Amino acid sequence: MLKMLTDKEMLSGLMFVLIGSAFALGAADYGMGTTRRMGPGYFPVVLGIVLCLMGLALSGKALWRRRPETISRLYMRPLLSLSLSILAFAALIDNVGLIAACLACVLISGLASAETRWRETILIAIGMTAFSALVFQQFLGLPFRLWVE
Amino acid sequence: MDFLANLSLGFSEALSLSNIMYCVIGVVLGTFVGVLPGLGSVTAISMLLPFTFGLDPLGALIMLSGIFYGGLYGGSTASILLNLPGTPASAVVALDGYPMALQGRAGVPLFMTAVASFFGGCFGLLLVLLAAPAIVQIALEFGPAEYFSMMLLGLLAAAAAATDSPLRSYGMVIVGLLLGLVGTDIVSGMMRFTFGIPIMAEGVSFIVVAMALFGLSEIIRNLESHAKPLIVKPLGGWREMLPTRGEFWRSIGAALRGTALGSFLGALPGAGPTIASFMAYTVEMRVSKNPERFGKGAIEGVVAPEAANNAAAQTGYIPTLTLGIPGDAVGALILGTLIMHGIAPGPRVISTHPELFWGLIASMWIGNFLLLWVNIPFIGLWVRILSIPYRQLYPAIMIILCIGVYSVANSSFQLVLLSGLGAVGYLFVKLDCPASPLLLGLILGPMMEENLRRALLLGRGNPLVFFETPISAFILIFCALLVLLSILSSVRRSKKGRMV
Repeated sequence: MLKMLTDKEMLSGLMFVLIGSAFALGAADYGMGTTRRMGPGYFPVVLGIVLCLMGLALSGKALWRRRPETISRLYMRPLLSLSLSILAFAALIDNVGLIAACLACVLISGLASAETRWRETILIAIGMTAFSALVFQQFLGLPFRLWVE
Repeated sequence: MDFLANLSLGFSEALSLSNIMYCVIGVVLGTFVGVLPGLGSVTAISMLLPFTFGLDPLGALIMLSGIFYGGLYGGSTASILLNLPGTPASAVVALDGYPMALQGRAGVPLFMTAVASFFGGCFGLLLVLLAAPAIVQIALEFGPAEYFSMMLLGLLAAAAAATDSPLRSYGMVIVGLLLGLVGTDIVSGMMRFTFGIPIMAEGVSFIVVAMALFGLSEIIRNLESHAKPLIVKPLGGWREMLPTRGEFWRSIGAALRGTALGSFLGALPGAGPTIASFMAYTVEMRVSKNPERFGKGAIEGVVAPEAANNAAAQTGYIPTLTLGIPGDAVGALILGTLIMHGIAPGPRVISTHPELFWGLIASMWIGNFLLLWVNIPFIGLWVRILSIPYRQLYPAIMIILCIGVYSVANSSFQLVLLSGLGAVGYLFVKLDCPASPLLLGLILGPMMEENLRRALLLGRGNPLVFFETPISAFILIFCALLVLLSILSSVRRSKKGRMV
């Protein structure tokens, strides 16, 4: 029975129930209105409920099938290091500038793969930073500051 | 005469120096990402979208479209040489192209795919030119009820085409519709699901969603497996690219059948280039007198799917540009680009922005012609690009993702959203939940709600308003049939699976 909880279809269903109920409950205060004059809450509530029902049907189908198809392994290393590299870029771009943000982004993203060769990654970091500064900031004129004074 | 005048207007737009440049940049970039395994056209288009904000709408569309059809050409190169499809639409080409490469005849399928693509693409464009104005005439009569029904059909068809599991894809459509509702409600001005964050008032940007689901989560997935070193077969000279006489004659029929099938399928909502190429392959096997050759290097198995997917790519613009209803994820991105440049999609686009429609068509013609010259002489160069290891590639992609998402609104909040949605997208991949129905729902969500509200207001709250006009009623009945059919076929499949 516990194994059913790791079934792909079961989990998809539960995810839909979660998303659907979150939107439906969140929209409950927005004012439903009538079918003729719909309030801002009408469409999200209806969609949320439909999504919940579909989620339940999906999970029910998985239970009825009784042959769990377990979700394949989630690789946390690339997931976390790439998220971290984006967040580092986000934190540095406004406070320090484009150069620091690009360098940090490439170097941290290097953590994502076991095959990374650090000398190579450092070269890519320097190259991509120069490329971004030249192409995006100078040539395309995107409003970045290279380095905050 | 109207037709010729429009066409010459289109060519005069497309042949301006800057637009030719955008076209060249688009097709070369497209071929580049198409060749690289694990980087599809959708990813490439969404990554480059933010950098086209500064261009005029026509320039942006020309470049993004170039990436799309250029990617289809490039994708087949990787399929033939490595048995590694660069884009899903080119997966079928590997079935017969790769065996030919193993026999030391890689040049023949590479040459023939380029020619077949050109043929299919040009015919598809011709069909767009002829069909679009006629469809617009009908669509101009559409009211909110017809629009709502059309959008519903588009979403259902796209979802039905996306996976074997209809409940999952319909669920993903609804998740997309719900995400599309985030932001200011256009009727009442109320903020929905914004959590008091000011930038959320504008809604969740489709660019951020596309980059998270098609960019970031794809990279994470590609990093799961350890990359194997790629071995590319050497290519012969020019002479070795030419097919034998028998192959040449068989190719003509295959190209014609593939083009016809692809043009038809592409114009339907939901059936894009990928489905067209698979269907074309199946048809060729049925038609052939000796089907046992397929899978061992039959030229028809290369030519027909390639002609079909390029024809479908072009006719896919018909619903997107005339009705404002995209057939697949690429159509959705093109539509999003229009909206972002302040052009309301729908049947009026062609009459209010004739230079945009005709210019885009003309430029795609030029682009298809250019691709023939980008592809054949530079095959050697593309082959060398194939051997760039992924560990060097993905950090560079990350930078472009970050800069692109940041420049959507010059706000680092969008980056936080990107990393969150990327993680969710990775979960979607793991759960076999397809991402393109979500993207379509996201873009169509606000328009659908608006038309639903308007239709019901006009119909005094009576839902039967959707059945009052024949077009809307017909479309809705078709929708119901589609849902029924997809559920029935999935039930039958799961029963079959149980018996095995």
